[in-house]
Amino acid sequence: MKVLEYTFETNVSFSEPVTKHDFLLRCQPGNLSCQRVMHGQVTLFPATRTSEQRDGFGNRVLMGRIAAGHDRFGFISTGLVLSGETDALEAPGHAMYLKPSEFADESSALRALSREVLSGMGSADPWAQAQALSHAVWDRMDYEPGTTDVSTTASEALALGHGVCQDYAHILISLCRAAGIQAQYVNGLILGHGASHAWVNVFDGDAWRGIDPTNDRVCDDGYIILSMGRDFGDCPIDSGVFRGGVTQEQTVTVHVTTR
Amino acid sequence: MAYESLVKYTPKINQQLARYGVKFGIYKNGHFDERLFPFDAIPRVIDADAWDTLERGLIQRVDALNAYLKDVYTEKQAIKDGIIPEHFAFASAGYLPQCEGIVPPKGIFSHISGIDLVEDKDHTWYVLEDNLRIPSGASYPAVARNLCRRCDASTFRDLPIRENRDYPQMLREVMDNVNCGGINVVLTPGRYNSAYFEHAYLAENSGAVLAEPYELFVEDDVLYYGGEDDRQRVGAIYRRTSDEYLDPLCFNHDSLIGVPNLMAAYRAGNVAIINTPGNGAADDKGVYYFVPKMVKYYLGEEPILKNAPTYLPIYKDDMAYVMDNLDKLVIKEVSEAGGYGVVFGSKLSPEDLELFRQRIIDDPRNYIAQEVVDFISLPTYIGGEVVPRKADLRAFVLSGATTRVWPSGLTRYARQAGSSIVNSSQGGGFKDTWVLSR
Repeated sequence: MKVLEYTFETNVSFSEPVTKHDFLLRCQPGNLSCQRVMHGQVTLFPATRTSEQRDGFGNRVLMGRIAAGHDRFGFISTGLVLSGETDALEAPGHAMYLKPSEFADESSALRALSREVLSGMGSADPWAQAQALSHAVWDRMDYEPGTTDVSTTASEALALGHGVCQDYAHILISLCRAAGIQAQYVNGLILGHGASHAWVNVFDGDAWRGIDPTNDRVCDDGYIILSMGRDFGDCPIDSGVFRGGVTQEQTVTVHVTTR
Repeated sequence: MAYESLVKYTPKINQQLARYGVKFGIYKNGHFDERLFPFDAIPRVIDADAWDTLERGLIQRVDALNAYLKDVYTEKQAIKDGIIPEHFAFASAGYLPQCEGIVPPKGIFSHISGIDLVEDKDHTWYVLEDNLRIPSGASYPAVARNLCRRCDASTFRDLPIRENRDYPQMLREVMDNVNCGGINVVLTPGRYNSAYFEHAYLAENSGAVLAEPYELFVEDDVLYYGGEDDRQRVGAIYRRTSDEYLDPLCFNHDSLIGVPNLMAAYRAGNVAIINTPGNGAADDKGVYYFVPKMVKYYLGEEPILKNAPTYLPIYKDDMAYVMDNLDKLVIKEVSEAGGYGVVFGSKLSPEDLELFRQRIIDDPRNYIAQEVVDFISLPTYIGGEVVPRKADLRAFVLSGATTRVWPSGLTRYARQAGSSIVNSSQGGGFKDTWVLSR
């Protein structure tokens, strides 16, 4: 059990002012059995009225609209989270997490890899199997930013053999589902200094447990969950639509420390 | 026969329909093609007694489907009680988890339901398909009726034919019933949509504003029509765009079509979406199998309308039956709509039959098989003579303050003699449907 202090900052600069900018953010942790939010706040710039809801997956979402021209957009999400009260997320399983999805798709290579990894295993325990699959992803893949993008699917990333945390997570989800294990995509923050992160929750029959294939480890109380879904497409941290044919540059900084 | 005087007007009415722009478009293989929808002046006639049974059956069926939609997105009691298998309910491509937990205004999910039926030779009606997303076609018989009356007023004076030109008023009542404050809007993807004529007709005649997505925006969880400075609040939106193009921040992040954060306004209870997103969870060709069970489960009643005898290959006994009788059955791909993915086993070559056999074994969830319902042909005026053509009926059920059936419907007939494929996208035509009041 840890008290984690987080600062999550995203800055977008546009080459020309944009207008009619609608956005939807999933940048705040919510209360879950494995984490409790003690304090949290989001500052937006330009300063904008927002409304807050829970989406269909239970994620906290913040929505707003900036009609006037602006060439910068960003948010700072800060707060304190008590993490690891229990080590698992107590929530029921759901059949939709067994079905291939847009980004965690299926392919013969994914099915073959899943079979190959699990064929030598004596255990039929989904949690043990998921860990073996996670290790295989880590083993197969090279971490190389810039070689994949947000639209890369699990089958594409596996064929490439490299990618970032999003790709690792999608591949692991597809491998789990191929083996009949329910798996979901998780966006979040981890202890240390860097960017936002993505990992996988698998359903062990009773509860959901986190695995981080990018770091080849099981999630612990250094992980803060921001959003969950079938894959990246269900729960992006920040998404927006605006008018203006521009190029944009985005920087993301995350600090998570224990307190 | 009552229609004889109308037959001679067929060419004239078709000319007028063409002039009014009563067309439908087909988007296929990346190419958009606009076609006239051929009208046959010989109507389908349903007598008062037969209609009474149909009406009760349709109301019952749609009430059960609405109860299921509410259940599947909230309590999931029918799934917990084993009425519908979990993997079936949630593996349906039309089930949208983004809609979890939302109960729409007045609890109505399917406001406008298009139920496709056929009449067997022994006069039993069978439901072939429920369309709970954006069923189209009501405007065609309403417009055609108007033209027929002008050509041949005496027929309509002498026969007890129930009015069907009030469909737009019924639609308006449906919109007003769930309106959360503000104007009613008909949302069209634009003139390149296959049903654009209908969108324009329904908006004009129901007093709603016809809007394209770029004319709408959401602020503070409220939907507005117009510009930043001359906005009008929208209380109900009859959208004629599919779920995936409704809100780019919710469903399809690659798409720029749609109204950003419309789903947030809907979830907040500030606008009614007609029909609600996610209704595909109940009109999947696989979920269809369970509709009679839903009637018993939710309403405690015996189903009045029958399904065509249907087999689900996921069940062992059904799979065995399907494998033994594939050459006699209709095979339908669960994920396809509009007459695509429908194959008659009797028309397949031995090689293709084997191909389908293997496909069903490989992916049993994606197929259903049905007995061929030998449905009746209706007299149809084609090429200067009256010939028999197979025809189905799309009945429109409107769920407002009460559930009502529009006393008419879209009768579609097959273009080719002997064919059972009546979909407009497959070249068929349409007829008016006369419901007699006595």
